[in-house]
Amino acid sequence: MIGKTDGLASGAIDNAPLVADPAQLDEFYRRYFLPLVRRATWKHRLEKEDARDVVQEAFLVALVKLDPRRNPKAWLIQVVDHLSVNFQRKLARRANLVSKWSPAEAGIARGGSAQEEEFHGDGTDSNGGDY
Amino acid sequence: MATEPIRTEETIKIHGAEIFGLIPSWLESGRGKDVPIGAPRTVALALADEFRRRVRSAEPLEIDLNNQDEASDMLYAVCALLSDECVNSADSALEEVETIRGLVEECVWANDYMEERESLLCSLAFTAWRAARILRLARRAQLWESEYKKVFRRSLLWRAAESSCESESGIARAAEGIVWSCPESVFQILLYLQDRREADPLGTSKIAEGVYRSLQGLRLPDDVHPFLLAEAALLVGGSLRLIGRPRGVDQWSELAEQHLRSDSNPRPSLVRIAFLRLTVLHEQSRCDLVAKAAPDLEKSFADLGMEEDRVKCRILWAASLKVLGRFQHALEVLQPVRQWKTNIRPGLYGWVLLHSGDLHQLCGHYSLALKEMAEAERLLREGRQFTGLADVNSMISCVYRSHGMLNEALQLLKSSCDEHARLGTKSLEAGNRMLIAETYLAMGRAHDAELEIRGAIPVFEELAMVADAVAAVNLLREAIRRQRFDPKPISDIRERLRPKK
Repeated sequence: MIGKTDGLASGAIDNAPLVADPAQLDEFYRRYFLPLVRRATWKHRLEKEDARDVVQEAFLVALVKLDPRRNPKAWLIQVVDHLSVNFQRKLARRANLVSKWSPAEAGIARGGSAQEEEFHGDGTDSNGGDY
Repeated sequence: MATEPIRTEETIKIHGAEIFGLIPSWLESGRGKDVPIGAPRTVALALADEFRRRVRSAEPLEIDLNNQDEASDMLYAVCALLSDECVNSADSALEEVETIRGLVEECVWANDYMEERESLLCSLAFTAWRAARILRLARRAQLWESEYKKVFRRSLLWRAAESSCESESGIARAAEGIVWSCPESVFQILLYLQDRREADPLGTSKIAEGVYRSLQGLRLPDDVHPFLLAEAALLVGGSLRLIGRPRGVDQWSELAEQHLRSDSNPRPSLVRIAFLRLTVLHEQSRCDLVAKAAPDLEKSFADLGMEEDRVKCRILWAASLKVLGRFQHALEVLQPVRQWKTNIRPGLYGWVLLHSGDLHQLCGHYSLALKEMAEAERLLREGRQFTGLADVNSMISCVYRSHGMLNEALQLLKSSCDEHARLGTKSLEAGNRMLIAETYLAMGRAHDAELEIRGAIPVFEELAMVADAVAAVNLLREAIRRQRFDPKPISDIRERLRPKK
């Protein structure tokens, strides 16, 4: 377990401890991580594992984009909500793609440029928005 | 008092930024590991079923609700189940949700840093509101709507909505994200925007329109979809009123009415639309009509249990009586609201004091007027009611004018005028220019008065403010007359041009 990570730290985390105390991390887990996972799970109806990935991603976004003048908890909720929505969108797109390319449909759809376009369209979501 | 410009960012506070110091360590420590994530959904749902069975049969609960780690997943699951069930079994869902909400209200979660308890209380209130609407229990639905607003406004969720509407891209994402959101998220955004309207009417009208367009393409449950569309349209209309676009108000009000035709409980929203139309009439100086219609409307709000709307209606009623010169009657209309002070949000009470202070000033009770206006200023600033805050200055200027302090009055009026210009509230800006013109005339600066009036008249014409336009023309005539009949400047020039002997 190490503390501040070179290249990731922005102004928001300049005061990060070099080595975090396990008790502090446990507190962080209970106070912030778990409640955000629960929010993504129940408000956005994600599976728990997907919700965990979304929250970890939100923390990564926080490393780069957090403005310490803002309310960090409210900001985190907003980012988790946004990433959850993005996740749902990706799932829906994937489901759409799978149903289009399922064996029954594939014979009809194969060779069309529209499908190719759709394939490239998937996964272009960017989380680099201006939070 | 209140002479400095109002900055939105002043109200954004710093909250616990220190927690973010731990994020790098957290991510590093979790790398490559499966961080535990609590009970799986299926387990939480099974626990929720058992909990509900025990609540229904009044058996002792197995779970300790005061233990947040143990109870929260299960309670979220309860919310999700009740939300799904309230459409088809509204009657039983309403009773159950009210009982369970009572239990959650009693919970004490000492380390609830992300305010999950408030989030659960909101979700349960939302389900109760939906069920009451489906059952056409208008008063009970309003009670739950008020309860929802009370918790939401004090919670982190409100701050999160605020955070998402701080930047242009955030707003666009919020509107776009609605397509993927649950009805409660849309409800929250609309509530937040309603509160934001007075701080940024132009911006709010744009966001609300974006939300409305997103909602149009959305498949939401039938019991809430028309309501949310109507509320979004009403929000656009209300914002357009503030920036002086009465035709837009009409169009959006009609749109809202159309959506309400298919709503299960349309009356509260219809009464709100009637109120919006009345505010437009007030701005067009048809105060006689407003004073006549307001008592019935106020009674409708009271019957439906819409307390905040009732207060707004009384403020409008009193404001119209004030314009009609019936100051004592206006004070009587505001009097009962003072007793409801604890039940309404402070920003709204600021408006009550603002008008009451102005009425006292008109009655010549200057010290009482200044005391109430100072308190109004504090409440309006805290509640980010910027249009009201701009009005405080112009009302205090009247006190200065009546004491012959014309320069001080002029300064306040100009600051108020600038603030209305910044907010885009054209009719109020034009009204202020008239007051400035009057002050200039009192100072003997007729030409400056003329310029102000000439700036205000096109706005009165555009907004169909007939009475104000007539007053402006009369004032303009006076300003020009004073310039014509003031021989001194001409004789001065003549004297200067006369060839020296």
